[in-house]
Amino acid sequence: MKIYSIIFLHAHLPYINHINEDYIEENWYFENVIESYVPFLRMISNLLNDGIEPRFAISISPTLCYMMENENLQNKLKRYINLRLKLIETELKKETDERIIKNLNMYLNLYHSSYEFLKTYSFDLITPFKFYENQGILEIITTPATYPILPFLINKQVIDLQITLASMDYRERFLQPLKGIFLSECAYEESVLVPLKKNSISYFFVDETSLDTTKHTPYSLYRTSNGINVFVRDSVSSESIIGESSYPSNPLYRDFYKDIGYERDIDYLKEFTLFTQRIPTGLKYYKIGTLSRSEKEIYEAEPALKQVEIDAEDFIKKRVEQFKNCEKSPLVVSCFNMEIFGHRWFEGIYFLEMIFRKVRSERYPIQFLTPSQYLSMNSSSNNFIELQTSSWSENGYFDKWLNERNDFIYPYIYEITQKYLRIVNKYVNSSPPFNIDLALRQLGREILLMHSSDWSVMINYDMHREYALYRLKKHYSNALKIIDQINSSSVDISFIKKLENENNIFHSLDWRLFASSSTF
Amino acid sequence: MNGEIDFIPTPKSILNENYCVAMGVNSETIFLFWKFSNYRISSFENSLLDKKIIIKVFDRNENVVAEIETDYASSKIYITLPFANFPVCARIYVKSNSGEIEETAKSNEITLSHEREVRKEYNYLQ
Repeated sequence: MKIYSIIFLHAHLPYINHINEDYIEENWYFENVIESYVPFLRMISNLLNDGIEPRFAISISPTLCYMMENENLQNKLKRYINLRLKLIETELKKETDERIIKNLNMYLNLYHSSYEFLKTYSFDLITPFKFYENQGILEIITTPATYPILPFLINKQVIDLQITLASMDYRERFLQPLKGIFLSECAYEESVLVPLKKNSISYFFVDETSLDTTKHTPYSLYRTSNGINVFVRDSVSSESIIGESSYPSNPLYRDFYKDIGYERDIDYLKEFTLFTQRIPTGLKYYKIGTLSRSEKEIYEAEPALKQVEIDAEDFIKKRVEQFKNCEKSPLVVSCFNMEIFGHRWFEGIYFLEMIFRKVRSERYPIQFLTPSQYLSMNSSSNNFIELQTSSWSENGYFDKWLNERNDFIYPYIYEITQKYLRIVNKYVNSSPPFNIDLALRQLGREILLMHSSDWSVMINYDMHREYALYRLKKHYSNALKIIDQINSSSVDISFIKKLENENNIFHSLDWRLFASSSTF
Repeated sequence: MNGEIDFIPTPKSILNENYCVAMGVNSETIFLFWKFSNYRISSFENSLLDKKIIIKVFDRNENVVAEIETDYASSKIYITLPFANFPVCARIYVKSNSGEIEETAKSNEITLSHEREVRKEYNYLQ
């Protein structure tokens, strides 16, 4: 009996790109490039060099794809790495503790090697991802266009638009039809099925909470009534990475929170961070340990990496044990946010690497594969299922994105979207002049950016709440200004071009896609 | 880092129409928000209409599953429903000073998430 295993990693960040200004939130992208995306790609290369072919399914949201391709962010990324290297070198000059010096040399290597890797691809990270997609190592899919909670868009045709736009964008970027989609936050509602079918999307993922588990096992492939394949996220394997007593919480691992950005003198730091506020620098010298934050012990990479090997073996053995009495080969779909690996869990990329190495060296009965590979073996599956509304949040509910702390944003998002749909319907059967056409395109982008689910989460957790509100208000205000300009036939081209430069997603956005989407 | 506008809850619609929107929160709660046209708002303000509105939540068989009275200006509400996992929609009614009740807005239909507490785990070894 063989266990079929799909490791699915979901990569997404909200679109954050500021011209001639620096915002702390832009660092999220740089931190993830250095700690997650580049180490992940290098890990694949390491495995291939040793004759091991890993298999991953990855969703890269369109907003993240645009950030990876964005020249402004590429230049800022270069500057970010250079400033971090300067900080590491300065720290090295004054540090006397051998264990911290060892950590600093580890970071020096991380930033240097990342810079060299990025230079190979002219700092455009999409290229190496495409390379491994073409080799069949990765199966890259997408998410709805700006990562909204689809059921919260209310209007079925706006839901359709978010999926259609993502599908078109994927085809343009990866030069092939889209095979599958990861619905933002795994948020499923029946209304998504029609647009998925319309866009010939072969599969999507749901959380286990979408199933009536008294009737259906999560370890199987299903089909919706309109013939779309459904992969079910396994809660057991997910818990081992994100649960309370998960592997990343081992005391030997590097502490994510204790960063020198919160400890050194602010005047010393600002030369390297460019901010007068305290922000994480990425330089973290301590392990999680068992002591309080002020008494943390210094991180040591060697025992931590040994622990990774133990944890990877445990992860595999638990899967084998879980299914040892199964008569039929189960399908285990382990879904994670990609940013956990390397960024939140510093040793996480090595954990993924060790899983593939251990399965090979110990000949565990686990077959890793991509969703399409699994579908090619199970094309006659008629395991029809009726799914329930759910997300991958606790209990499959939506409280995180909708509660008394953040509910005030939804009327604004709904109204401006409806307003846009009406304007578009007014122009759809005519050929508006160039300036109106340009304004309608940018108006669409501003509204799509408001749809992102990230803002509601940031407001809910009071983490970068100010920035989330700033972005929502800015896009809303931009949209109102553009609407006024369209209505008065006095489009300010320089204003539109300025917005286009900053909020430059979906370059070939066709506003006609929004037409006829006026009511629910 | 302030935006140029502020998000203040208001019953006034920039679409200048009466509408109501329903969103699912969890297995037992729906969130509703509503807005009114300029005409309706002035009717409320000029006491042509009672300031209280009635919200009724219906299942597909037109059975009322929840009913609540609230101020028109509150513009949003969370309503607890007795059952999960079935489609519902909400309707807003306004009362004139003479006591007549008129349906003013109907929401989209939504289905809440399944109630987790009653679930039993599937034995995947079978």
